[in-house]
Amino acid sequence: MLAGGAAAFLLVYAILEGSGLFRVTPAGVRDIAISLPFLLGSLVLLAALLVNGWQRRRVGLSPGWFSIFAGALIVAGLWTSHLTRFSAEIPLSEGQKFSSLGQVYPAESLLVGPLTRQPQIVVALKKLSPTFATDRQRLTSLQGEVSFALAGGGPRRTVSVTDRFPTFIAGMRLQLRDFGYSPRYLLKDRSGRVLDSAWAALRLFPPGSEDSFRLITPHTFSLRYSPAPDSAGGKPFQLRIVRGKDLLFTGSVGLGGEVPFDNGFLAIAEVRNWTRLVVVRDWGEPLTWGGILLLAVSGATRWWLARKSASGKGSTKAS
Amino acid sequence: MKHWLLPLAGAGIALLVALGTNPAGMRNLRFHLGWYDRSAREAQIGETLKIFNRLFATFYATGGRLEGLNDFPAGQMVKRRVFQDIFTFTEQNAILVYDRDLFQLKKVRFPDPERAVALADEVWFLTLQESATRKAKGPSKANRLQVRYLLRAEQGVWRVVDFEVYGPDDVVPDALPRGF
Repeated sequence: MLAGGAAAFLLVYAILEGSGLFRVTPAGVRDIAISLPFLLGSLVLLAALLVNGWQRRRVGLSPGWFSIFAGALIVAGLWTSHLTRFSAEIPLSEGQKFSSLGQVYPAESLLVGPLTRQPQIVVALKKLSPTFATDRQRLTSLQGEVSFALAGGGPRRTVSVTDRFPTFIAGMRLQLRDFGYSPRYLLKDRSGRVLDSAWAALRLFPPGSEDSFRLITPHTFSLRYSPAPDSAGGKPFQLRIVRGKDLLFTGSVGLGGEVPFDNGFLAIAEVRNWTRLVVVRDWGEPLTWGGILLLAVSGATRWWLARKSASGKGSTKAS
Repeated sequence: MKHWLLPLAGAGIALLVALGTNPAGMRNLRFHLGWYDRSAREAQIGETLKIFNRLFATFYATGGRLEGLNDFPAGQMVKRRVFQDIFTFTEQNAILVYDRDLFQLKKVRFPDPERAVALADEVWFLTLQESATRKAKGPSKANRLQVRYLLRAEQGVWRVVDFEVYGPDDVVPDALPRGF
């Protein structure tokens, strides 16, 4: 009976959080599964199933230890994930490198359990190959060559990473997410001296999408990009430069073309592809998936045995 | 004990836990079910933008005097950007005067209970003046714009966390910027 109560708790809690009725935005499956209320509820369910199994054994019924063991694996996996999970998304343009020793993992995507020690890694995106649908408005697949090494020594390996299937390396799971274009801007003073230059990873895909970046000056630079070579007479960028509420420039720009504004110039030197490298280290995942697999096998075996026994009884009656 | 009592209790506890662990859970529920006064919300946004634009112009006109900063309904990044801009004019012994000619709220939408996106048609006359004499450094510039304001509710108070400026004939994208 207690198992029924705990199961109802888990089901209703997951539905409420997943639908987002009480939340600002709905919670994802992973967030629900490793949230404290769900974990505590699953512990109660496991304890109730153990007691139930013990009672069944005393009256000579099958206790279903196999299913209980699978449930215990799932709960242990979820708790391990909650306590030790590490996950981060690192935006990388082609040719760009990230080292966790000198840089910090982007805070907006960082997920760190209370007992987690962040892995120290050095990664670089060597090449990114997107495949588009025929209208070039949709991405069909993404494949990248990523150089990976543990910081502070260890062999450097180049692995292929995609947006579909994870790549496992050094106890971590790598995957790609998102795609965009990353223009390299040049900010120059009036004499043409370069004051600043960097890659700006912008969400400029699909064509027509707009994104913006800000630099050391109080200006906002907004861009749209159409990569087709004949777009707008060889000027693939739509640029808008704004300062406060003063619209300083709006128009098309080609690669290398300089746009004057206030006391300087802005130019776009080249464009590369960028993506986000998802890095996950979660020792709870194999336990959870192992438990789910065991539960599925146990359920299928029980169903098959029950069916076999029912058909055996039926044939005995007929004879 | 009835066999359905414990599952019912479990479901009830789940409801209470979901409500208890989400701050402003009832407000969120009312929003998602559409049980809120939309016109009152829109009026709040209109009032917030009125104060925002009044103080925005005042800060520029006074060369960055901090009076009214606590009433300025803007996020930290917007405040920083505005004052950074004002101080670059101050360094050149100049003041940029924003004179508002038109503010017309075209559209307000609420993507979730804590966010609002407002689009307005605006016309501003911009005059660069010398700080000391207030003499105009050149002719006034008429700036016809569309401004998309991104607002967040923090403890029931709406604040502008970013604003995007478009030309009067530009197509304003539907997609929201990342991080908002």
